[in-house]
Amino acid sequence: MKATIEQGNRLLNTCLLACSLLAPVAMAGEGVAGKLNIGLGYVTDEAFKFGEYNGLDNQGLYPILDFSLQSAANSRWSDADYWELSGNDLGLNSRELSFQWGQRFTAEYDEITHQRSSGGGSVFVDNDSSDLRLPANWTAATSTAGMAPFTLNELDESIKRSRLQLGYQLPAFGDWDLDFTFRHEVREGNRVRYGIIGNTGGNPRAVALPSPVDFTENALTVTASRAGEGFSLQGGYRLSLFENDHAAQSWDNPYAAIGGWDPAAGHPSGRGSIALEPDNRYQQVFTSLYYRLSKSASVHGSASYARMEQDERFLPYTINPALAVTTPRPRDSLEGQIDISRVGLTYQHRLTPRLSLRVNGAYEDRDNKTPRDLYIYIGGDSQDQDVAASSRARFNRPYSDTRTEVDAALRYRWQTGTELALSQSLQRVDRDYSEISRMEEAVSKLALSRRQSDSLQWRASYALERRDPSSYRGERSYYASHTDAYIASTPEAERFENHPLLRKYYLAERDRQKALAGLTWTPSANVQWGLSYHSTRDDYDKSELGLLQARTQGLNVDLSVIEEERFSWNSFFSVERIESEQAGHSFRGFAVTADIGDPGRAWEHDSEDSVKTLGSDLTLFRLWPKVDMTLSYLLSYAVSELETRTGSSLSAEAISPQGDKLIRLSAKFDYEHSSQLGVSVRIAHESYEVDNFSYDGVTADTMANVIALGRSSGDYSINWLALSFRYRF
Amino acid sequence: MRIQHLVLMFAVVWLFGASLVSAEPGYAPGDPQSCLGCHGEHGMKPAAGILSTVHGQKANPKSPMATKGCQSCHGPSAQHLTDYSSGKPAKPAITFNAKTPVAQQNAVCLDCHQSRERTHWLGSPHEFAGVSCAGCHSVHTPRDKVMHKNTQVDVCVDCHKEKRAQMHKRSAHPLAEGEMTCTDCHNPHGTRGESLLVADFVNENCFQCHAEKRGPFLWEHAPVRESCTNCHQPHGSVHESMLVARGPWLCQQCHMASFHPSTAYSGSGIPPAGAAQQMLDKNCMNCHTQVHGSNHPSGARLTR
Repeated sequence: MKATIEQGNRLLNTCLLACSLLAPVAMAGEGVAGKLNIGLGYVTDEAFKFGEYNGLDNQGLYPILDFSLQSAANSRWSDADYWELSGNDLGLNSRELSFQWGQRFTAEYDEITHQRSSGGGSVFVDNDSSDLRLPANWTAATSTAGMAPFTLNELDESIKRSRLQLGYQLPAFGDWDLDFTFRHEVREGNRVRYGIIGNTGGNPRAVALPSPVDFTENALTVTASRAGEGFSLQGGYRLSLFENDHAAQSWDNPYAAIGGWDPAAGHPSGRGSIALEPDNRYQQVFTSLYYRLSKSASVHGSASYARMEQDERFLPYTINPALAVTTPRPRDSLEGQIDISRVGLTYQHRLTPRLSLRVNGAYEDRDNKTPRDLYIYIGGDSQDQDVAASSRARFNRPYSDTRTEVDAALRYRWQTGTELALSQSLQRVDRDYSEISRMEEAVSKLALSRRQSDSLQWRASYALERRDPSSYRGERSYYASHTDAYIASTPEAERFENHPLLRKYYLAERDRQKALAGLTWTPSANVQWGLSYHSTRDDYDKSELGLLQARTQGLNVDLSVIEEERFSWNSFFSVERIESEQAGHSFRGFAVTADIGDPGRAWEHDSEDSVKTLGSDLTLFRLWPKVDMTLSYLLSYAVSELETRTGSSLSAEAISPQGDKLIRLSAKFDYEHSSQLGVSVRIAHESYEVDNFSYDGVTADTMANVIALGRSSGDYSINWLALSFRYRF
Repeated sequence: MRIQHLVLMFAVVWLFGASLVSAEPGYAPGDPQSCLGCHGEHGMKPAAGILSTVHGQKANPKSPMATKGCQSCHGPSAQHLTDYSSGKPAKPAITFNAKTPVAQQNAVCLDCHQSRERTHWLGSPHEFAGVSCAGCHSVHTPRDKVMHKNTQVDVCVDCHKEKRAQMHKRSAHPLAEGEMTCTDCHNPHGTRGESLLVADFVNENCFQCHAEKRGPFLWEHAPVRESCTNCHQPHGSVHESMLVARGPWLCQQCHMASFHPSTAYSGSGIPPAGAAQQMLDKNCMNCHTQVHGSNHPSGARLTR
């Protein structure tokens, strides 16, 4: 039914647009040129993955309507101004409309709907509400196993993004160009997030929540720029205002009270509440200057200062009035503020006609000025607030960091067509409330390229990146988050959240090696081959727990054959392998110290993703008189091998290979009846198979403590046919 | 062949010599008609498409066509019409291919296009790497592929080949669908920040479309505040939500606390052997739903 209504809406919209277009077409005079593409398409089935972004998310007929109107070439020759109005995919919910008036004014309207999932449903009555209610006859239990068979309310998870963007260039302001850009964007729909009731690692009970998305963003950018002999200058201001119509998502607890919860937290009186994304504001002023010091030297400087602010009123500690709150919140709203400043300076000098030098320096500071306070949180709307020293008394951590970076690069060009580039960069990062207070990273890079002949070029590069934190102290964030009273009540050997042997991968000591090689061979004017290889290898040698090693390798081959007015053939093949190794140790909370000494509780996990992609497009011009044909093929095939190995005290079972395979085949025939009239026919087939244990066979009650949506991974096999008529004038 | 060219040259001079570009020393007369005589819509190296673009607007004083026509960019090229000593026409003064040094080619374009988005061109990675403007832009065609939403990606992946395969992965931004362009995130002409991103920092770049994640939040997730790319691969991933690795193991690369964060997850947690809530559906995010930050006073564990 919903699909039928949407199709009806689409047809109605298209008719209206078509009518509105007929007027300018009818009025089109000598100074106007354009084209109209109108027709019908048909999709044989419905699959969210197939229609994820392209608007073809429903089975059935859909209208095809594209057009463009513009001042004709001969008119452009004689007029200082020109204009263009165009619309694409107007019959779909991925439609766009744009208008351009010379270089001065642009207006673009764009819609895109992101289909996120389908095939499942929620247990709540109204999926579109930010206050979700269970059916009156809901039978609660402490786990899904005890619940009576329940009905799911069908849910298609999708978000529609509509964007209007206006741009205006004011050319005459002395020697300055002034640009204005305004963007108004609305996002509507729903997404799925989960909500839990519970307060420890053992007693949470979760349920899938269809959560409304009603976002609006207004953004303005004003830029002034000026360029002259040997210099250019730019400055501007940027503002973005984000608003969310919903401050919170609340829901009825579908679970009966369990041990550890206040009885009032269970069904039917218990409720849960989550804070949704708060309104926020962003402002930035920026400037940059390029100045040519001499014929061979130039300097380029830039600076920006930005502020992010957020001051949404806080929700209460709990939505359940029966739960005792003895310590009020320290403040009513966050008064969150992050000031971001950046200064950059680049000096470039052509030391000789063949040797160039570039030196670059940058300083960036993210100063999080958000107030730091103590909050005594209530675990998952399920308990009274703690009154004594507690792990639930937590300070927020407004993370700040400062980065300083210097790099220098030399490039030498030989007359023979060979180029050598050497560069070295150093970066230092200082952080607050982090496991490391200072991190230094050095990157050395060597690149060589050569134009071997008019038909053969190659390039290769190698980079070594060394990241060296001052000292990793895993307990630092623990001390920053808890109260002195709670810390004092904890045995000294257990004053951490994550075991101190863990190295978080984005902070850990790391050696990264990156290599790239590629060649382009053009054996004749019509044929071009390309071959490239890339590799990145990360070694976390100092990490005992966490990510130990990661490696990505890829090989790409492409071929292009173009025989003018006869055919063109473009093909590519890529294979990529992404591997990682990580180590863990299973800790029981009561015996962390003993457990780390037990090799039987150690585990390792290896992951290997192999991805093969093959694409080919063949166009035969004038296959038959007045007919061009394009055949396209795409294969994307990914396999993930996952393996967990454990010590003797634990156990692990194998996971079958996961992955997906997408095959897309299409044939397009273009019949050119005359220079004005043409017909296009397109036939396409797309199939998708996926093995994903996250969703395969997982119904709403598969997990004991989580009520899921019961959605599918999304296998499909779909055919798609389109017929359209083209008219040029 | 040489006689045919001479005949053509005299015809061109006779027809157009007095009408358009005055015959300054070194400049060919009759530009652009004389040029389009050979480089018309169906000629060799066709260039007639330029007349449908701003570069072909004679009435626009800022357009190259308003001054010296084709030779505004190609330089004084009278010899191209008259000199056949090598058996073929002499090259125009400036050609936008390997025959002319890249810096010299680019200087022509920068003469008009130095401001606005190109302010940071000089010293930028592409400039330093010797990329020419004409390597990406086609000014002789009515529609410059790199300037249009549906075709821009094809131009960029011509060099950035690994990105072409990545955007077809299971989870990717809608580049392959033509609903997004490379320049939504990158400015190939140079920027103040890293990786040619249009904003100064990775996160500010992402916030341009995902402003709801900007915050600041009461409870921040440190790697999120630092860089979205700590967890996401924006060019495409085989994992959900463009994650760099699959959950729960991605989370376990940073979280190794007692009980469930340090559990060894394997096939025993998936049907039919089991049903671990940390592995199925949204895995860790079945409970820690607010991984991008929480503004709830009870959200310290990112569940609120």
